[in-house]
Amino acid sequence: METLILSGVSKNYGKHIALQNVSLEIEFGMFGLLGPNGAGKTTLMRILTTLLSASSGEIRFGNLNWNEPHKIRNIIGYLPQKFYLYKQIKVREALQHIAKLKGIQSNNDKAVDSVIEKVNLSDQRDKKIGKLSGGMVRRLGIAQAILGDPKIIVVDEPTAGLDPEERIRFRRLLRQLGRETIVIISTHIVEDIEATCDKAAILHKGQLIKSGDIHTLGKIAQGKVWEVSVSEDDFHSMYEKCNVISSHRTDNIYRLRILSEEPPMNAGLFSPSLVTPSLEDAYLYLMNKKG
Amino acid sequence: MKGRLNLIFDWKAMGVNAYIPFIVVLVLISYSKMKQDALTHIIPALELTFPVFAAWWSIFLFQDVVEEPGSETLFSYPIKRWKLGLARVGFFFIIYIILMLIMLFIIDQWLVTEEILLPLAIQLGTQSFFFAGVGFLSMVLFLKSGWALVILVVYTSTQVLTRGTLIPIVNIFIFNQGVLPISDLWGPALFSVLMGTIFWALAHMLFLKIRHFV
Repeated sequence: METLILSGVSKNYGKHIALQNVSLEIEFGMFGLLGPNGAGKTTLMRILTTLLSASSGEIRFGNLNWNEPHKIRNIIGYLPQKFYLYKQIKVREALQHIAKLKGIQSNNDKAVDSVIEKVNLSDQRDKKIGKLSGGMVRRLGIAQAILGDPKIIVVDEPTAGLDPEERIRFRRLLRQLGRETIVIISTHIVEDIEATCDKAAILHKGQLIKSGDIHTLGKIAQGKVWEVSVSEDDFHSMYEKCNVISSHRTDNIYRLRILSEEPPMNAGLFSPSLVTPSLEDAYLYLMNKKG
Repeated sequence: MKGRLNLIFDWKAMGVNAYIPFIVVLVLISYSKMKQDALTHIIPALELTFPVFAAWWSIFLFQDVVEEPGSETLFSYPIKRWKLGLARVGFFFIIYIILMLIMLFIIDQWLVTEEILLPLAIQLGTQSFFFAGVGFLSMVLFLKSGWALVILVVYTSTQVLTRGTLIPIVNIFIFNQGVLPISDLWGPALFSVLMGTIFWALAHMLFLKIRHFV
């Protein structure tokens, strides 16, 4: 299996540096790009999909190089954050048109029917796109991205605006795609990455902070995530005093998850205990450190 | 893979906007019938209406390509940008010219006695070429059909109200009330083609460089 290799990729808009010297190796499977808004994720996605060219650096995939964008477009499938085209057109007809734009010569109809089935839109194939729900439009978006069996699929903010049920369904679909190809998803929702990806990279202000296996990334916050139970009275003061990342209420007791280098002192009903950090904990820890 | 165009799809994707130029032609034929043989009314109506609507398809062809959320996806496909831009505008302009010839033929054969087909085909055809370029350029510049239409309305209304004196350098209207001899049409026709070519070329170059996505 070929690997997507980014070496020292940078992008400047005048004096503004959107991406700075990003180097990554992305293997077959699901890969997550995590970062807050403005981290440079969308810029990187657009460079990967040849919509933008990098100011410097190199991107390669096997024998292919991103300095020949017309060749790259044959192996890329892209779903941007918002996708709502051809509202007047029926699902199947729109995908047939996209198949032509993508230059799929043979078995155009078969390829279209196959992706419709894959994204579970068979019942909606003759519906106008304008009549689809948000989740269905998102699935149509992924259908156009996978049409033509691209080797690299790039998905920007995959679950933005989806209800919880659709979010789960969409993540499952992405997981399935990751069995056959490289799928890169970019998001600021850590849960999306945890639920779908094996590996991830964290971007902040255009720089790559960390990359690697999801579990290894989680360990960055090892020894810094505490859990403590407090009464309702102490709940608000704890929120003010400590860096609380999450809270769960059981009867009148609040279980707080706190990010701290030291054990939180005088912290509630029970003494604080260290817990195994998740990717989200690690992400928040890194973001706190970076300010 | 090499992307191919599908112009019937482009037609459908424009929705109701695809039919507006046909409605304009029907209205103009009806008006010509109403004013039977009164060229002093018919020619100004044709000149001030028909060429302007040549911009219509140039604008609405690009709604999905530059204006709608996710249109950037289209630029990630292996289809050449000139095909998505210049080729589509060019094809729909040819349809518009065929529509014009049909309209002029009907008026020429049944609604007026004077020979109008060739002189008006030269006059309206070259003016339409100019306006198709205005539509293409304004859509590529503003990436919004609403703004492109505003440009079109502002240009046309100011030129018509001031009879071309407000911005004479880009005035392509002749404001004639009768059929001009072909020898008198070459100058204005060449001017329209020249200005149109500049607009088409500018729009094409800008379209190749679009980096701003919705």
